[in-house]
Amino acid sequence: MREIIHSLFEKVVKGDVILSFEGIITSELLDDVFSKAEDQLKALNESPRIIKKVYNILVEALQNLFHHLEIPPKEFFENSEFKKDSHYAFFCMTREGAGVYRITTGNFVKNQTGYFLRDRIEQLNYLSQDELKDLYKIVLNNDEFSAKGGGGLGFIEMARKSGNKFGFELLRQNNDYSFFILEVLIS
Amino acid sequence: MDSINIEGTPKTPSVSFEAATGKLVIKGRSIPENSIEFYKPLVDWIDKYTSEAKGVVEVNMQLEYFNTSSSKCILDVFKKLENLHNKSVAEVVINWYYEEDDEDMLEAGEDYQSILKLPFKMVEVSTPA
Repeated sequence: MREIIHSLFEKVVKGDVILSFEGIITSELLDDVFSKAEDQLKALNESPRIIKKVYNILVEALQNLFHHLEIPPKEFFENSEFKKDSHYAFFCMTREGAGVYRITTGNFVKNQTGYFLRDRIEQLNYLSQDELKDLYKIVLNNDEFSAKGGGGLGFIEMARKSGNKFGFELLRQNNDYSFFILEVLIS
Repeated sequence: MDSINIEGTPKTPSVSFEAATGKLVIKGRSIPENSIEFYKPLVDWIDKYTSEAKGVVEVNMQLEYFNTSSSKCILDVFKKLENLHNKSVAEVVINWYYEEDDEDMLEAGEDYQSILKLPFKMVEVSTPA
């Protein structure tokens, strides 16, 4: 299973790669990634508007991983370089042209969660910008926080700010787990 | 009543709430993984301040970035201010700052404005070079 997942990562890391990572997700790692991403975007002379947009979406995408990734099934750790039960995921950001970026994340989910995510993303992909704005305000104002501190707003915010439909793949690995790949194009 | 003074970090904003002058400032970036922890003391402070606030309570929101985990907490702060505005003799004014080309930040301010019954002023500032 480890080789299959690694080959998925390799497929993603192509073109003008701004940052990529495969391994254990920690809060410290993300701090480091956010600050490097910002420096790189500045070095590429992107406008402040694009830098903020890309940075914001990157924060949402990677904090989503941090909060919601599932520890991989035990087959994954057989013959793997990672310590058993560690918080594995991957991500990559590529530049597709001036002001155009693609952020891809990959993580394990329980099959049930995977179906839920698929439905949610398909629903969001169907909504117009105005509908996304209305949905954002409804969810913002609903007084609910998920157990992991997220507000359920991350996906809506990414859809609103990116201006594009999500790409995703849900790849079943065994009876309990799937591997979930999310792609956000920012243009 | 004591003031709140918190220095900013790469993930949390600087905060200055002054009871004596009624000047409240939140400035910088707000992208902590768990923002409830950061914002709870601010919400509690406003709650307490409600019984003694007088005159104009000027709130300056000068955010550069905020994540969606913060956005709910910021709404909680505003809801407490709305309560203060309605229940105390003081009048709350929110100044929402955004950089000239940052439509997303302007829109975020307008989203809050449409949810709340509080006077909002959108303040455009030039982008630092």
